[in-house]
Amino acid sequence: MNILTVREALKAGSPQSAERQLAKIANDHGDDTLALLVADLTPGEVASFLEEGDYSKPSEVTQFLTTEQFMEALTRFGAKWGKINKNDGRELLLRLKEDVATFILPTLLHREDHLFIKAMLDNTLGEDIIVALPLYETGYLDFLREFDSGMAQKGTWQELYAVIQEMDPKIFKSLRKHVYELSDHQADEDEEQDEDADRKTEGVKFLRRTLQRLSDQASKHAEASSGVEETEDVFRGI
Amino acid sequence: MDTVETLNEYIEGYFNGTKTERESMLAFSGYRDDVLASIPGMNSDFLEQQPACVAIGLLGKLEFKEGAHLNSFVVRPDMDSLAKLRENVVVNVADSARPAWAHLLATNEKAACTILSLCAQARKHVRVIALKPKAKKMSEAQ
Repeated sequence: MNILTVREALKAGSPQSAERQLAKIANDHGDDTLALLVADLTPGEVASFLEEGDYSKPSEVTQFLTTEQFMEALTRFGAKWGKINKNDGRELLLRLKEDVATFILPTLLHREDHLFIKAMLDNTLGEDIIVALPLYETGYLDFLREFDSGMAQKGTWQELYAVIQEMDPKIFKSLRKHVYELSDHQADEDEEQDEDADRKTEGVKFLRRTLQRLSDQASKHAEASSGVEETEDVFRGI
Repeated sequence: MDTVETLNEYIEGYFNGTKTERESMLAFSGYRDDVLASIPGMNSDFLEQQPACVAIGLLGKLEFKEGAHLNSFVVRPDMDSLAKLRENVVVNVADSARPAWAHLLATNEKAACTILSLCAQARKHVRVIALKPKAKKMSEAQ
């Protein structure tokens, strides 16, 4: 069993099967072999594995990825979103944000060296994604205001913020300030706000911009890698 | 009996705001492809009872030439008006949908005409236009 078998499983659209193969490799040949194999994965392949994992069962690749591989995989995320319209409401944006959170959090939180968190904080878009994570989550402002890392819910943005607070309290404060600035606490209190207001608030605009940047980046990669032209369908009389 | 409104409802169901435009389009075209692939396994009763459901599979896979023959067919979709469409090369079908179309005709001519008529009525739907691939005319293809 080698990378080609794993690659074939991914190509066949079965990341679960590829994941099982990685687990078998780790079991039969040890972590060193698995690490060598992970080193050969392309960013798109890494992204497929990360999409497959979740917090309760992160992908086998998580522990062996380099920072570059993780960040490159992140730039492949959101390729299917396309243009996020101004008419797309908060609900849709929150769903996309949830997708991003499910993609990054297991990997960020399961790596004890916190290298990927540092890499994201060093990257403009990465940092914005971290700022976006708490926006509009239940009780996010109260939680941030009276932040208690011991109360952070595992596998969520709260745990990520707790880790960041421990890593670098200054950065934590700066992120928290940014989230406050984007929050619509005044608007939230006004129950009579119209539907349009929901699309105009700073938080929603920030969320849309951030997700759009992620999507644009991923689309560029998707275009660059799709060397094969779509098969043309020939039309003839019935 | 299914009408073009039924077909439109099916189409619009994919664009209900829970996904981005592109995600919806991918889901819609993916469903179209699934239906198209399953048409050769559909029986005569199903074709007759669920024509809008079947028509989904042909969306974006047909080309129509505007004119009186097409209008007549839409008003009265039967084998006689289908013959007129053929004579005047009013409809072209994509090669990828040819087995499905052949199955429709071979299994239930009446239902095939109804399904084609539904597709004709939905031809200007913005989502259907978006489904259509870059077409190569027969002359270019040969």
